[in-house]
Amino acid sequence: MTETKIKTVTFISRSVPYGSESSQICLELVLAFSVFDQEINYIFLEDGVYQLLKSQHSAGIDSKNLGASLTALEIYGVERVFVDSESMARRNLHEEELIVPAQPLDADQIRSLIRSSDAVFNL
Amino acid sequence: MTHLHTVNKPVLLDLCLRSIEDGDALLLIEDGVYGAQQFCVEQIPVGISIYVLRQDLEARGLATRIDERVVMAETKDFVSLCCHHDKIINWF
Repeated sequence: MTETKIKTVTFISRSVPYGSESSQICLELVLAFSVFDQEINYIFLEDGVYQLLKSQHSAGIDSKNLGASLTALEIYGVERVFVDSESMARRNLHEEELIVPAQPLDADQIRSLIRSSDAVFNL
Repeated sequence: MTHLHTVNKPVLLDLCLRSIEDGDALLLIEDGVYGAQQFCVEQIPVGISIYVLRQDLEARGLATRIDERVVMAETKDFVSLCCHHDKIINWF
């Protein structure tokens, strides 16, 4: 019996929630991959950091609450959630405003995560 | 003659600001509501009235991050803003 090697897959989410489907699709990909017991990195970069804001009340615009959906990551065992500290600083966002715990990374740390991944999805 | 400018993406705010004049109104809608945050409003001239559509702002969790210069607008205010300006310019 051949043993399957666990792969490291990194997802980079760069879009604001709601304006396009990118953020929702990225989350769905992450949740789908989590079923296969691979090592997943989920990085929020640039405007993607806005997805993590608390107190999203999206019923008024007839949309599914992305912030609330992100809290499901823990249930799916996705624990390696990261946020670009530079993107946060440029938008004057602070860790206590985030709906799920995300580890802040600098550009060097993000680069090495990307380099050490078997596959990278960027959307 | 005053204009109402509507902006639905944060990147379009810069473009809009190039052609806006004192006395004009700026209404931030959809993803444009990110422009209602303090660090964005700083670059908007004081002679411009700034409005943000409440439902779009609250959807994105930005209710507590809004600058004090920005006035909260309901859908009916959107309509009256359109009626009270001579021209509407949509930055989409």
